[in-house]
Amino acid sequence: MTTDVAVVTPWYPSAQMPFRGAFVRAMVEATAPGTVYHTEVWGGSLSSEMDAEVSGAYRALLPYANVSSRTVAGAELVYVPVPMPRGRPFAEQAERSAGALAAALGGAPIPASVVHAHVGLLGGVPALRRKRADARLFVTEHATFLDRMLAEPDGHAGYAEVLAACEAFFVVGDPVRDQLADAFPRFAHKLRLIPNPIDFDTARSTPVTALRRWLFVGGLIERKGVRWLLEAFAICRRDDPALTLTLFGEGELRPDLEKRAAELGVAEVVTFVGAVPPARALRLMRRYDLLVHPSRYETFGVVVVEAVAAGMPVIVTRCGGPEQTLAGYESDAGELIEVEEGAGAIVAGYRRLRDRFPGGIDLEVARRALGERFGYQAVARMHHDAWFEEGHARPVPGARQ
Amino acid sequence: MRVLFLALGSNRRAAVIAESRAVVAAGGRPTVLVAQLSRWADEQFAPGVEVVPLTRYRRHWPLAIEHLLLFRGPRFVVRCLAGSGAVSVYNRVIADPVRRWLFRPVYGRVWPDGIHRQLDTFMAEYGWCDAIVVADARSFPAGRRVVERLAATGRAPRVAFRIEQLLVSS
Repeated sequence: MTTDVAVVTPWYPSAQMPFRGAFVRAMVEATAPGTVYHTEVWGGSLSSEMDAEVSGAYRALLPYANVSSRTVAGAELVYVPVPMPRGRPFAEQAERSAGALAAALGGAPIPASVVHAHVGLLGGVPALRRKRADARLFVTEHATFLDRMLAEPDGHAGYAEVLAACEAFFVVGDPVRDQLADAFPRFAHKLRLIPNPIDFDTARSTPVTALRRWLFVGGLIERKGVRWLLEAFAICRRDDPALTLTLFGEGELRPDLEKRAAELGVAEVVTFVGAVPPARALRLMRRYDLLVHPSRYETFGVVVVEAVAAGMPVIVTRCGGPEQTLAGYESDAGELIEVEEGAGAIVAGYRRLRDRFPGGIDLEVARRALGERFGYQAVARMHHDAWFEEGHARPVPGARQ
Repeated sequence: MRVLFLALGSNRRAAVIAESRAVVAAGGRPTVLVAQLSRWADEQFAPGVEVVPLTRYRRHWPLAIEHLLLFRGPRFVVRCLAGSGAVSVYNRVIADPVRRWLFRPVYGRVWPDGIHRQLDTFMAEYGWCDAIVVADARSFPAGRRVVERLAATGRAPRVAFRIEQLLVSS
């Protein structure tokens, strides 16, 4: 464990939101920092008087509170709730998170010489406010709502402050890097690509022999293109009645999708599993033949790499992240298709893949190559190289290899 | 281990359900204090979890009168005369400001502890606990009240915001 490294994050899996920040936990597992500070906004319907009363009570309770537990890789997990009224601007959420973290630390700075924040504003601002003056700050951005944060003047200013103070600012894909480089050209030199770490350790017991058991993993929301997936599945099933579709995830579209599946006559072969914890989803992936990921926009597309790690071919849209993560191995891993408002691209992509499967595809080659890019060891090495470069080098025992 | 979950805001229900189950699994005795049961009607607590609504305890009489005269009665009349959409307008324009700027300041001066009467009655009945878990933003003032009163007896309970913080160190 590298006790001299602390992570500050607004997202980390918890009982309330078991899936939020699974990639941060994966990064912690890979890099084994000493402490993780999880600042989680607890929104509520609070009047201004109630807000003040809640804040005062929170501070009064902190001396009695144990905020520490353990998480992966032996790291200490310090959980810091951030009570506040719902719907406040991002910049205010960030500053309140910094205030709550300060209260939890008893006014002391974070006792680490490297502080790595996740999410530029919501993690970056608390990390910046609470790090030691001599501590080095790093940030990783994952947020898909970056445009909304930057649209707020205070959010933009807070972001610029974090960018100015950090040594390096990691992004998980070119779309985010381009967006930040456009918004903050004078800090473009600090932007670096870094992937989310993926588990490549568990191999599939039997290889895929036919592309019949389709799988979707993600939120049942418009941005994921899941409506078009259902339409495309119904069309493809006319060619092959043995096809099935399973959806892992929850979302506002579920009632509509269930209704539409019935209208399309495929309700009996479409299974809505609901929310599945990330570790279980990874295990279950190995029971399916094909991941279809028709998202409209992704910064990274972690599930696509997880599918390849699980030995499963993919059909995935060119939606930002996935064309970066699969670069050079697109045809070995499956099919990249265009983002379209319709089912045609998915249907055509499936038919192309089906017609060449298993020839013209080499999942093992793709798996090995992606493992070298996104496996725990690779990602841990990238972090440690950044944290301890140029005279800051130190041995890093304990990280998952 | 007796653990009291304060879940008066009712908006982190998934955490409360999972964490109270974890207390039972660890051999503890969890009690979940909620504002009212209706917000939890769709939730399934693990066997062994006691759920107590604060509404089980009588409000201080001035608060009951306030509720009747400022909210319940006028809302009924407004709903009958102008439809249910007008109720939120009534709340925003009349009831909430009257409560905030007129009734509550006067009430607080006359009966400083009156607002806590339901919670105090519950605690008198419930007794001591080893730990409390403050589960949402609205529960912090109640958490403070419970801890300060128990601390005054020389037996302050441990406080946590997620159950792992208690189970790891117990």
